[in-house]
Order: sequence, then C-alpha cells, then structure tokens
Amino acid sequence: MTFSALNYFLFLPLVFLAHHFSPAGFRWVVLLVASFLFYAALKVPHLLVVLLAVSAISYGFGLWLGNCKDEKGRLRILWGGIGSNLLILVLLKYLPFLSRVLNQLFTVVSPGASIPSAKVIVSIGVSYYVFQAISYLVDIYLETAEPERHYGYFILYLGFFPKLLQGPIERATDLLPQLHRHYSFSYENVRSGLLIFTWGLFKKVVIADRLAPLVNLAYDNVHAYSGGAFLLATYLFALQIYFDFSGYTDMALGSARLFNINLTENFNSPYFARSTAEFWRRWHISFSRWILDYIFKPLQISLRNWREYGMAVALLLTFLISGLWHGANWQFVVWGGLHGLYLSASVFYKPWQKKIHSALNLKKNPILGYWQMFVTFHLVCFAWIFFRASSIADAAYVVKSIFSGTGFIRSLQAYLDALLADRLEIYLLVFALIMVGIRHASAQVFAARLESLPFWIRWPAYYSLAMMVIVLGVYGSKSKFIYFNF
Amino acid sequence: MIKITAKIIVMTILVVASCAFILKMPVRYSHDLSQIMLKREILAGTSSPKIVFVGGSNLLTGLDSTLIKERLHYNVVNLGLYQGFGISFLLEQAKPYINSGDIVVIVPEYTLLLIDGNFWPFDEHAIKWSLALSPASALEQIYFKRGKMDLLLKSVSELSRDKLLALTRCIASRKLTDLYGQGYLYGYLHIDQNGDARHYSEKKVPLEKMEWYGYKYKKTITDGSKIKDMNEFNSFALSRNARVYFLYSVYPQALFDENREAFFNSYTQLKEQLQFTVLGKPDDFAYPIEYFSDTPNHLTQLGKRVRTHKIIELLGTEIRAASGHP
Repeated sequence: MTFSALNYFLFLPLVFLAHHFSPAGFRWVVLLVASFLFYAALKVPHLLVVLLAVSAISYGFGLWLGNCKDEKGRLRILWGGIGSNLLILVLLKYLPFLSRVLNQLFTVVSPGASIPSAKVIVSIGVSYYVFQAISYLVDIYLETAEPERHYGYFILYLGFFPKLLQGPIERATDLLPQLHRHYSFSYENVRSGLLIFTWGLFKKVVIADRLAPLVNLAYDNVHAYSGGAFLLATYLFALQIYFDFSGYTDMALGSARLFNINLTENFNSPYFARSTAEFWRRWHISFSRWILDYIFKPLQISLRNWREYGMAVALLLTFLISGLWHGANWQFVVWGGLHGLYLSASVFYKPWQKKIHSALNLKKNPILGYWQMFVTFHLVCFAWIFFRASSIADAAYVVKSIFSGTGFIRSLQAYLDALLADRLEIYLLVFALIMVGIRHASAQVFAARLESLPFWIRWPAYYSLAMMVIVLGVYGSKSKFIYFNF
Repeated sequence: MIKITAKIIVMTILVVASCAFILKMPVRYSHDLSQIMLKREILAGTSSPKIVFVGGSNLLTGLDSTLIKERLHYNVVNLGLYQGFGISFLLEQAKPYINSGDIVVIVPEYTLLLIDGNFWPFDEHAIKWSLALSPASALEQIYFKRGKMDLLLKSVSELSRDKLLALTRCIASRKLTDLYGQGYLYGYLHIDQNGDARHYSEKKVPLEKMEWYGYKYKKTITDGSKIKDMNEFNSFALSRNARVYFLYSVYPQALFDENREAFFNSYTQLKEQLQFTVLGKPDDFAYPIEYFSDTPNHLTQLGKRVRTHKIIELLGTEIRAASGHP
C-alpha cells in the first residue's frame, strides 16, 4: 500500500475514524495496529519481524542505558545498541553489495577465491527507523531524551505508518511526546492535513510521475542520446526527485496531522539554496540534521586537532556514509562523495569568497544571489547524474556527453521531439504546474495561503486540485516512490 | 467533526459527479482500444443473419469481412481488436446481439489457449476499456468481484484524460463535428463498417525479433474455464437458434513447427471437449513468414487474402451443409 493508491485513500479515513471514536487509552493501539497493517500490506512478512526486532533491541538498550549510572558501562551499552541496529541494517541492505565488493577484491588479490553472493533482501523503511532507533539511543546517552517505558508507544515511535516507509526521520523528543499527548478533534488540523496530503499527492502523481518517463527516456537508453538531451533530462530528474520525495513527505505530514501529530518538514525550496551547505539545510532536512548530529559532529570533534583539514575530512566521510545510506552501490557513494567534496572545498574557499565579494562590493548585489543559486543548482544536478544513472559507466558516459558538446543541439532536438511527440497538452500543463509547484512548494505555505482565501476562490481551488489529481495523475505500477529504495 | 465531514462529502460528490460527467460526455475516446465501443455499436446495428468473428488482433488485421459478406451472403461483424480482452469477455459483450440464424466464429490467438493468466481479466488495458464499455458490469464483475479495486482509480483517471484530450483537440482544431461523428479521432487504427482495420502498418519484423519467438507454449489447455466458457456461450447461442464454430488463428510456419505438438494437443482436446464444431485444423493457418507483418498474429494484405479465402471455404462448406445444400 502506497500513499497514492486507492486502498490508502480508504485505509486513512478508516484509521482516522477508528482513532477518533476509540477511548483515550486505546488510541495508541489503533495507530499501532494500523501501522502494522500498513507495513504488512507490502506483503513482505519479514519486514514486520525486522520492525519488531529493531524496536525490541532499541527499547531494551534504551531502558538499560537509562538505568546505568556508570559512564563506561553506558558507553558500552550505547555501542551495543548502535551495533545491533547497524548489524540488522547491514544484513538486510548491504550484504549483497559487500559480497560483490569482496569478490571483486578477490579477483585482484587472490584470483580463484570467492565468497558466496548474498541475495538482495527487501528492506523498505528499515534504514529510516534504524536511524531513528540510533538517534534515540544516542539522545538517551547524551541525556537529552528519557527512555520510553511503554513498549507500545516505542514501537509506534519507530513504526508510525505515515513516516514508516520514507521518513521523516523523527527524533524521540519530537514525536514521542506527541504520541502521548491527549487527542482532541481539531477542525483546523483535519482541514490542513487533508489539504497538505492532496497537495503532496498532486506533486507526486501529477508532476513527478509525469516527469519520470521523460527522464527514463534518456537515462534508460544512454547510448541513444548525447549532450543536450542529457542536460535537459538531468534538469528534469532534479525536478522529478524533488516533487517525488517532497510529495511523499507532504502526504506523510498530512496523514499524521489528522491525528494531531506534526512531523518534521523535510524540504524548504532546496533549489533556491545559494550554497551546497544551504542546500543540505533545505533538502531532506530530517536526514541532514541526523547525519550532522550523529555522524558529522562526532567526527568533527575527534578530528578537531586537524583544524580545517579535520572539518573537511569529517564532511567528506559524512557524505560518503550518506551516499551509502541511500543505496548499496557505487553510484550513491560517488553522489555522496561529490557532495562531500563540494562541502569540504567550501571550508577552504569560503573565507576567500567572502573577501572577494567584499572587494568587489557584491554583497548587496541581488545578481550575486541568483548567480549562487545557479551554480549551486548545477553542482547539485551534476551529482544527480550519478544518483540517477544505472551504473557508473552510464554516469561517466552522460558526463562525457554533456561536456564534449558534440551533437549537443541535434541530440536536444531529438530528445524534445521524442518528449513532445505524444500528449503535448499534458506536458505543457505539467510545465505550468511545475512553475506553480516550485513557488508554493512548501505544503505548509501552500495550505496556509489557500486557507486564507475567500470561500468562492478556495472551493474552486480545492475542486481543481482534486480533479487534476484524478485526471492528470499517474496511478498503478508506474507510480513508484524513488526513496522507497532507500 | 460534522462540519468537516459534510464538506468532505460535498467535495467527494462534486468530484465523483464530475468524473461521471466526463466519462459520459458524448465525445469519442481517442485511444485505439476504445474501438471496442465502436465495434459493439457495429454489432448492435448489424441485422441478422450475420456472422460475428470473436478474437484478438489476428482478426482485426487479418480478415476481409467484405469479401466474406459477398461470398457467403451474410452480414459480417469483426469484433477482433486486442487479445487482452480475451474470449469470455467478448462473448459476453456479443450475447445481447445474437439472434436467430446468426453464426459466431471464435478465433482465439494461441496465447489465449495455451497460456494461463496474463490476459483477461488480468490485462490492465482491457479492464479499463471494459469499464468504458459497460461501467456497471465492469464494476461488479471485475473491480469488485475480482478484487481489482486498486485499478479503479487508474482506469477512471486514464479514461477521463483520454476523453478530455479528445475534446481539447477537437476544440483546438475547430473540428467540433468530430465530437459526435463516427470513427475515431486520433487513433492509429481506423476500422471500416464491418470492424476490419482499414489501414494497418505492414512494417515487417524479422522472425527472430517477433514476439513469442522461441516461446514454448503449454502442452495442453490447462485452464478448463476457457473451454467451459465457450461451451456455455454455445448453449446460449443454441437457445437463440444461432450456431457457434471454432477456428484456429494464424501463426508463422517456423514458430508453428516449434510448438506443433502443443497446438495439435489443443486440437484433440477441443475436438473432444467443445460442444460445437472446430473448423479445419491448426496447420490450415500456419503460413510462411512473408505473410506476417510485425507479430505472429498480424497478417500482411497478402496473408489476409489467403486466410479469408480459407475461412470462406471452411465456413461455406458448413453453411451449405447446415442448409441442406452440400
């Protein structure tokens, strides 16, 4: 069951009604059962076992940490908890990759030797709640959070269905108090929740899913196109992944709000960022904060004696890990590495950049802002090439094609002809909607603006949104969320 | 709670009513498969006695109904369009229009006989167009009974979009008469008054690149419901004083030889289990690759002519025998 499937549109109101009409002390049970049903609907039984295992381990280690007063003992417990969670994640997600890498190493170091290849195991959602579990344990260790004593609420914290499959990655201090809080019906929350959900659905099924075949056209047949086509396809992919993931997040936020729960906003117009550091403050915010707090900061502290070199190494390592989190293959490692390089480099050029801007008196010039947005967007797009390509070889081919310039216009023309050959009207409409979407991309902002309008504008707007979602949306097997894979 | 519920209900009614309005607009769909609706109209408007051919695209592209009409002196309706519709669905659609003296010739592709699943009621396109064709029966028989509710939104969305696009294009091209005219606006296929494709690409595909190249069919017809459905339709036809025949579809000789055993096993099975006549044998319609265009089911003009003559021969013999003039 995904957020854009008809069965979810039936499931959500049923859960809402069951939750609303349940006795106060029983509401968490409704949400927990709903979350189990939601996860079970993926028809991958081992995932429920994994959720139970991760929650049991983290719950146990959390209580143990909370009760232990000895500092060395606490550290051992913390590493025990983190290690157990990471072991589950590695076993599920990284074993095939590791076995492949080891076998490749063997072919060089010791020809003839090999280890059995591990099978790919479905791990939808696991990396999200494992990260939540780790942050929970670290927060208890740092005494910024209290251990949760109620196992039911703890599973719900990890497995609450709106954020189970693709986040946001919630902190215990943010979500657990909301789960415990007394529920009372809120007209405003239901109204804005539904609106945010529909806006997210629109972003996903109308924009992202309509862009997907256009991107696939070039990226799934890399040798059929060259420079110009890849440049445009990469821009389109940048939009596709943004609308896909932010659409999902909006649907998660909207669903949760029906139960008076506010999840973390994951996006804040990321393509308007003026540096890659700012981009990461606006893109997949809950994840960025997580890697900043739980990977970068400890690394930075341990490398502090190397001063700015330590900072650069910490950034590089953090983003390599971030790449690996996205998927067990080299394209994601390179993607993460590129972002790490951008940020590491900025450690050294930032002071010079400031001096140059001051010397040229550019600080207050609005053109500087646009130029920085342009450069940042293109750096991000360059990294997206590795993220989207099916292999490193394909990515290298795309990069080479874009920069070689040969047949650039001809290729662009061929790609445009293929794009516009069918259903031109829809593409023009989608283009117009992207423009609107970017401007009002934040679901909260969109909902707030719409709600402030008079009735005679608001209702036609609601109606148009709903009709566009139905008529222009892409449904069925073609509508898959990109971040499901992570 | 009551306030928001009322608002949600009002909005839901508005949206559902709008979708229903779009789907019911008197504008023709533009998709090729929507011609199933036109074919049903042709069937409804053709007087008896008539010969109705039921099958997939082997009939659409490989039958000269006008020639059959001339030679056998029967009106002819070619219901063949797309194998995804399967046989049972098309037979159900044909039922209301079968009258005394009519002849129904069932010509399924080999895939429909010797592969389980994949086609009706699993094919998403066919399910969608069944909704356009008969909304109430599709909702009950397919979406509810067969648990395809997850496809309902997709079907409604795609049908509404297709209709609005057709409308937009009519308005843009100022050809408003097209909205209600016969024939399809932008479909790649156009059909004549009998349901045959007027123009079909004769683009040749090499044998080794054809669909089903090297495919090994099941050795026998394992899904008993296929034969059961055809026999049930035969009982229905008999009650209307109509006759039913089975005819083998076309196949390239080289691919036919690879599956000869399976095809003849099915022949033996059908001869034993069908309660009506099987006309000819499977190899009557195994032709050289030159007779085929892009798939093992689609004939060229030459192939179409040869096949139609064979059908006239087989069917003519039966008709003469039935009328007491051998």
